[in-house]
Amino acid sequence: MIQLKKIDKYYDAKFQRTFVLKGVNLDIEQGEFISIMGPSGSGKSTLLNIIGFLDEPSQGEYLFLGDPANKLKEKQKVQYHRSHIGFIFQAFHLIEELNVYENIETPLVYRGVKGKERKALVADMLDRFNIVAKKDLFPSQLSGGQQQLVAIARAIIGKPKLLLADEPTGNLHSEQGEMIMKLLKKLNDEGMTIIQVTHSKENAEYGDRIITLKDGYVREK
Amino acid sequence: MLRFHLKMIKRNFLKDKKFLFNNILGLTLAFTAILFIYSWITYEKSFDKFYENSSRIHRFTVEFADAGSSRHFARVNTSWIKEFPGFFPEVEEMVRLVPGRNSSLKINNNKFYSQGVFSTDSNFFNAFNVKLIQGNANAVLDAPKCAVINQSIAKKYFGNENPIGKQIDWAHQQVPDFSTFTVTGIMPDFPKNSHFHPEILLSLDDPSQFAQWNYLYLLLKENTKPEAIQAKFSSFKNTYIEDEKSRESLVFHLQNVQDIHLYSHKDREIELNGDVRSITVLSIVAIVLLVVITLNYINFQIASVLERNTYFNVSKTFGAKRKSFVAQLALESVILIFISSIVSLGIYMLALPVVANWLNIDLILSTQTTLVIYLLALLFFVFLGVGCSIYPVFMSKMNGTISSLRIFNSGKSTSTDFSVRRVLVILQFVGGIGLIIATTVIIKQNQYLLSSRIGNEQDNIINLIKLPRKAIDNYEILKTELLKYPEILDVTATMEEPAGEVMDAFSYELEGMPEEDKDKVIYVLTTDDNFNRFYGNEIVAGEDFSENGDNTTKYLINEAGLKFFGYTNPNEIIGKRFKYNIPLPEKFFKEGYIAGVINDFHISTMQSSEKPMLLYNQPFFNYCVGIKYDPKRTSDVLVTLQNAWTKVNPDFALQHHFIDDLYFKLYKNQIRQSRFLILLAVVVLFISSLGLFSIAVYGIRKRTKEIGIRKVNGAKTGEVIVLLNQTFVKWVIISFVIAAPIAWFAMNKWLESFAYKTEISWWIFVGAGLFIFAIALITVSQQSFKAARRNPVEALRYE
Repeated sequence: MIQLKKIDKYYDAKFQRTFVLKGVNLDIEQGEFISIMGPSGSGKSTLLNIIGFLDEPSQGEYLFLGDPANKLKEKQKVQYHRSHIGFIFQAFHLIEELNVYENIETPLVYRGVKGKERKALVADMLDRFNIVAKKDLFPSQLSGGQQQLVAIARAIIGKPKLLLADEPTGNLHSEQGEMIMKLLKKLNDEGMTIIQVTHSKENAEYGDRIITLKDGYVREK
Repeated sequence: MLRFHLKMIKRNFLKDKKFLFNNILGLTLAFTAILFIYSWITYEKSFDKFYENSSRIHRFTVEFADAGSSRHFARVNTSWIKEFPGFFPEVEEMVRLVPGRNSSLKINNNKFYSQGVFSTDSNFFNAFNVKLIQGNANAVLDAPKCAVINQSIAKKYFGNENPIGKQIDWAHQQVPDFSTFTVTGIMPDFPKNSHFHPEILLSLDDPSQFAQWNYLYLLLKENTKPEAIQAKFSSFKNTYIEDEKSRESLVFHLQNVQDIHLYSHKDREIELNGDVRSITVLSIVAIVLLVVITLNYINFQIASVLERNTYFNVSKTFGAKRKSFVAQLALESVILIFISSIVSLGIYMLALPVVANWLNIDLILSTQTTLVIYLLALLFFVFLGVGCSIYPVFMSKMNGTISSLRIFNSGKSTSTDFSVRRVLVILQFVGGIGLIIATTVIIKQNQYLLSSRIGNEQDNIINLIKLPRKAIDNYEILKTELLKYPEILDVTATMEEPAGEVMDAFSYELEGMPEEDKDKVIYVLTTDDNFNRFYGNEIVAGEDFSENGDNTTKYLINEAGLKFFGYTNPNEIIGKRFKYNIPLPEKFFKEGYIAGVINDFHISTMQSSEKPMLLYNQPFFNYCVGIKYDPKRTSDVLVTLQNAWTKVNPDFALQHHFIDDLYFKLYKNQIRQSRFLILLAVVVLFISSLGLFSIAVYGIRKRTKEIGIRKVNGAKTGEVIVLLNQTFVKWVIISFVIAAPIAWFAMNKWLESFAYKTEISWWIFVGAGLFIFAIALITVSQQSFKAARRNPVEALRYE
């Protein structure tokens, strides 16, 4: 599904080139659950962003479903975001102006799904995550764990093939974190490819494979 | 999708009501101000356009280009104009309008004066295409002693009676005895945007013989260009003007009636005209206003986009296109503009009568024009709204996605955004400070004009102006009568009233004058013998007229005249023989000598330099009386004056003017303009403050964590306020440094057009700077105080 070949990511300052990623090679098959670990500044998030088309590599080749990513047009990237990729973040990033229901619904609006169908899909998602009672609340009225639930619901409502999670439990206490990890595992069992970035060894164990980044290099375990 | 956008916009508006309110307030104020400016400009430009054939009506004027001096009168007094219709087949109608300067009138038992009485040719109504309310336009002025009155006069003096066939008695300076006219028609009142306002039009006794001063209007035949007539001027002069010298010194001019109000500043205009400079000033203000509101809007818009960064970036991850954000922001702009324009239109409608009354003008704006303005505004601001939305939204594309992610990850704006917005606020304040300085200079100049009068004695004076012949003849009796009363301190008389124009100039013979000066002319002002003492003029050399002595050979000259004669030492001219070459009997202006030199006093407008002139004590031409009274007994004065007047001049109404009012009227356009400018400066300043306020709120919000940390580390509230304020204060100082020299330069240029100008004092700059500084400080301090007082725990939890 994902092939990264000799991926570099660097920033040029006046006299010096700073590498964030260096020669990253990675193959990820459909249905895998990958955990990326590494100290702060090792390039985990950058790698995730490159995979999710939010950033571009400085050098190297990235194939997504066999297509070279550097040749993808903006439109195709938008298309992939709409149908293939879902994101969740450490800081949840729910839209504060929208309530739970509306937050979950948003990706469908951008995909142009009709109102009736949207209603059914959101209702199903609320039910599945057991947050029907919270549907009219706004993000600020929810606990961190609840917010992350909503964020996951929002990320997967479009049935993406790939879910990218950037420290999904980083802002949660352990109990909530465990709940979220179990949920991710369940989604993976249902066939969703998941790549998560995490600091926690425990959480990393949920994955099939752990990739460790250090100073931009991959050390696969 | 549309519904989703609308929902987002609504939630956003509600989330930040303060921003929403400020934004709408700023836009509304700017729109309203621009509407008023546009209305005023439209009004000023609308003069004399209401005649069906305005483009064909031209005024004929003559410039006297004598050696060394040039005078251009708005009216003519030569007999050869009667040959025009015969000589120029292009002329369809020729109309002479003879002003009855301050006519005395009697209708029934009412005695009154009017500035709007003209004698005219019978084709007046045809030429100007004025439809009569009563009477046949072709015949009403056909016979001698016919009068057409306007609606207001008809209503005021005849009430419900039908005025047709009723009688009017009329007299003035040149016509000492009342003569009776019969009302034959009623015309509508002329609109405010006409360069003249006739109240009563009288027929000429013998049009074919008439040759006095008159305003001459020519209606050209259709499809005739004025150039066609202008090309034949020289052949006309060759045919009808025998004297070669006169032919050379006379320059003929044609002026379209629509150009009179804004572009005509000739001698003896029919009424006080406007000035195209006022339109330039207003246009500049409108542009400043537009720039300020635009900057403000950009500022608000960028702030609002940056506040929504998370929303935009998260939406991108589930496939939202940039296009869709731009669409949402554009829609938001449309809604904002729509609300603001509706509100401003409402305010405009409500305030229109008040403002029009305050400025004493008719503000007219057609529905169509208003619609066009709004459509343009809408387009402009939607464009702007989209423009400033594209900037942050597309920034990610320009710099690679990373910069947007950086914003995204930290939830903070980049330093570039802040500096762009800083530049915007600085520019706004440059506009604000510039306008304050400019307005202050304009007000100061107007004050200077208003405070400069004849001589030093200028208070507590009542003037009776442009008196009828009989009242002039009775002057000495009136003076003696008035001086019997203790509340009357002094009485004098002069040819022109204060704020009037000295217009009569003649050639002269001065002992020892060079030969080449013999065609030069010098102005004359006749006065009573106590004129200089009365108004406090200084005798620079020689002596004043002797009161109650013989002055028939004495001429006094002003300093401008001294220079005109080529003298530098005033003492040298004393005693020089002087004689006027006036086509009048010798008894009016006797041969005499220069008895004294007086300082230049400002009888008329200070916009032009003081004319070289001679003072001569000849009561026959003293049309105006000045009465100085005891200010402690003001209430008695008017009664005394009325009684004395009725006793001496029972046939004429008393019309008095306080000297302040005369000057006020002279500068009414300037006063009106400065009033309007003050209002606009306040608006611009207010909008700039809104901009500063928004950036202060935004900037301080971004520094909440920093404030918290500083406080935890022991910073006091005061220190935090100083820290927060100093950035903004720096901006104001930068704005001032930019604005001050620009304003100084612009105002120097503006003042160049005045003969007498005020100084651009240092305190204007200091004052404007301090004022803006204070406003900025108040605006920002509210926010920084609030932020600094916050519990640091609260501030840190915010992150």
